[in-house]
Amino acid sequence: MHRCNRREMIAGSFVALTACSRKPRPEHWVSVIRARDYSVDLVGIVREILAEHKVAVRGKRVLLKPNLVEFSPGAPINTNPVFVAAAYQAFQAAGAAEVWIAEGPGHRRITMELAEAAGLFSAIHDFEKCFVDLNLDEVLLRRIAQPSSNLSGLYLPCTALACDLLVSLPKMKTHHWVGATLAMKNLFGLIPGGVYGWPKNILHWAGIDESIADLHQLFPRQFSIVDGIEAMQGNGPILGVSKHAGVVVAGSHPPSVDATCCQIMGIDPARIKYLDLVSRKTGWRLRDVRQVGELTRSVHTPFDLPPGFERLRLA
Amino acid sequence: MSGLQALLDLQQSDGGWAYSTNSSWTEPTCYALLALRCADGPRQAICLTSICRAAEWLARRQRRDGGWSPGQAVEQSTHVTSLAILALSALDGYEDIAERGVGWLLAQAGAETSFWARVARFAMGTQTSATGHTGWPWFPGAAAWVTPTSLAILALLKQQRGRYAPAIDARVKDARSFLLSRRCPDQGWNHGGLFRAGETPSSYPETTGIALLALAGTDNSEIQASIECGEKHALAPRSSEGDSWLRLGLSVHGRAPALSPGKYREWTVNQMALGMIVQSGKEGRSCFVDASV
Repeated sequence: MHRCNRREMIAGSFVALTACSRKPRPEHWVSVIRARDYSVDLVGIVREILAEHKVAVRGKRVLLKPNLVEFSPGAPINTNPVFVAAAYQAFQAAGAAEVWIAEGPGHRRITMELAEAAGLFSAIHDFEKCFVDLNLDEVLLRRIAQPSSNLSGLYLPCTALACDLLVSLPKMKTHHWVGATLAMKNLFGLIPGGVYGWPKNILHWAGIDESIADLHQLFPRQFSIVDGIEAMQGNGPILGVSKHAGVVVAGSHPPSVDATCCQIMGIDPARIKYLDLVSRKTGWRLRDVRQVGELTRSVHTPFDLPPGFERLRLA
Repeated sequence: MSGLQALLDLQQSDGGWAYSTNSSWTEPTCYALLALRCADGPRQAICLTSICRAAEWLARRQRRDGGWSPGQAVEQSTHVTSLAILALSALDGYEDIAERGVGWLLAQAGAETSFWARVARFAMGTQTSATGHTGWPWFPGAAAWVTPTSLAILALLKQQRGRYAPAIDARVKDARSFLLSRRCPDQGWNHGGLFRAGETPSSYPETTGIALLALAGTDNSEIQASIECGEKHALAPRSSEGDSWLRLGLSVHGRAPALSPGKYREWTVNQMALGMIVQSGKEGRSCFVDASV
C-alpha cells in the first residue's frame, strides 16, 4: 500500500481543496436570431425562443412590458407594435393563463393616446382590454436589499408585482446617459408616474445606472426579448436616428441579454456601468454568457454612439 | 348633464375617485371636485353632497406635514398637494387645511436648487439661466419640472390672502421665471428637461397649456411666441388632456380656440373632469385662476 509522503499529501490537499471550491459557473444562454424586417414570422420566432429556453409559460400570468415613450411617426423610439403583437400571440399560444401588456411612459402621461399613435390598437385586437397603464396602477412599497442606489425602496405597480413572469420587450437603442437602453433600462417604465411623476426623475437623482441595477434585483422572474430589427443609434433614446440591425435577442438573464446586445451594437459591455454593478453584486461575468443561434460577430453592426460616449466603443 | 352624472356615478363609497378603476387617489379626486365645483347653479345643487364627501375625503387624507400623498399606499407628500389646495380653495370650513398645505408646498423646491447642487454646477461650469430659478418637483428629492411647478403656482395664487402672502409672491415670481427658462426651441413646453445645444426637443400640447395657464397675468409680449405655439398645438392636441389644458391656458391670454367636445376619448377621471371644467366656460377658468388675475 502506497503511503503518501508529506509533499504528496500537501499537493493532494491542494488539488482536493481547489476541486471543492470550484463550483461550476452558471451559464446564461442568449438567443440571437436574424429578422430582416417586421414581416417575417415573428410569432414563430418568439415561440421558438420560448421552447429553446424552456420558459415555463403554461398556466402563468405573463406581463409584457414594451417600450412606449413618445409619438414617433417613423422614428424607432417605441417597441414596434407588430413585435409586441407577436409576443402577445406567442405567449398565448404557449398556454399562458393570462397575457397582459403594460407600460408606464416616462415623459407623457397620455398613455392610451401614445399607444394608439404607436400602432398598438391596430396591431392587437381589443388592446385596451389587455393593457394596463402602470403609471396609474395600484402600488405597493418594496424595500431594496443592499441597494446600489441611494433608494431604500420603491413604490411599484401591483400588476407587475403580481405577475408570474415579467417579459421585457425593449427597443434596442443607444442612450445619452447610460450608453444603451435595453432589457434592464426598460424596467424604468414600471415605476408609477402617479407616484413619482413624469419623468420619473427620482431615479435620475438616485443614480440611473444604480437604479437600473436595483430594479433588476426587485424582479427576479424575468425574460427579455429585444426588438433589434429597426433600432436607434446616435442621440437616443428619443432624438437618435434609425439603424437597421435585423436581430431579435432574447434570454432569461437580462444582464446577459444586454451584454449581448451591446456587443452587437459595437459597445463594450464591460464599460456599461449598470452591468458592472450587477456583476459586482451577483458575481455574474461576461464569460458566463452563452450564445444560441447567430454568433454575435456575424450580426455585429456598430451603432453611432451618443455624443461623449465614444469611450464605450468595443475595441 | 350626462358627463356630470357619469362623474357623480364614479365617486367611490369613501368619497374619492379612482383614475379609472381600483381605489381612490388624490389626483382624480381633486380634478373631480374642481369639476363639480364648476358646475353652474341648477346643476351644482345635485353636486352638493358629492362635493362635501369629496372635500371630507381630502381633509381626512391630509398628512401630518400638511401635504397630501398621491394614494393610500404612499407614505409621502408629493406634488398632488397643489391640486388638493386648489380643490379646497375658498371652500367654507377648509381654509386652515388648505393653508397647512401651502406651508408644506412652500417648503418644497427642486433638488437642483439645493446648495450642494448649485456648488457642483458652479464647479463644473454648467450653471445657466435654466438652472437659476426655483420650481417644484413631482416628488420630494427630485428636480423641478413644468407641470408640478405650474400647479404649485396656480395653488399659491389662490392662497395669496393668507399669512404666507409675502413668501407666495416671491416664490411665484421665481417659479414663473423657471417656466420661462424651460421653454423648448418652439417656445412651448415639454416636461421641462434641460437640453444640449443643437438638440431641438418639441413641446407638448398638455404641458404648453398648463404652463400658459400658470403664466396668466404676465406680460403677453414676453410669451407671445408661446401663445402662438399653444394655438398651433390646439389644432391637433392629440388627447382630451392636451385639448383641455390648451383651452384653459389660451383663454387666460384672451385666446379661445373652437371647442371640439367628443373629439378625443376620455380614458381617466382626470380627463373627464378637465373636459367638464373647460366646458363650464368662465367658471372653469376660475377653478385655476382668479378673475382678478
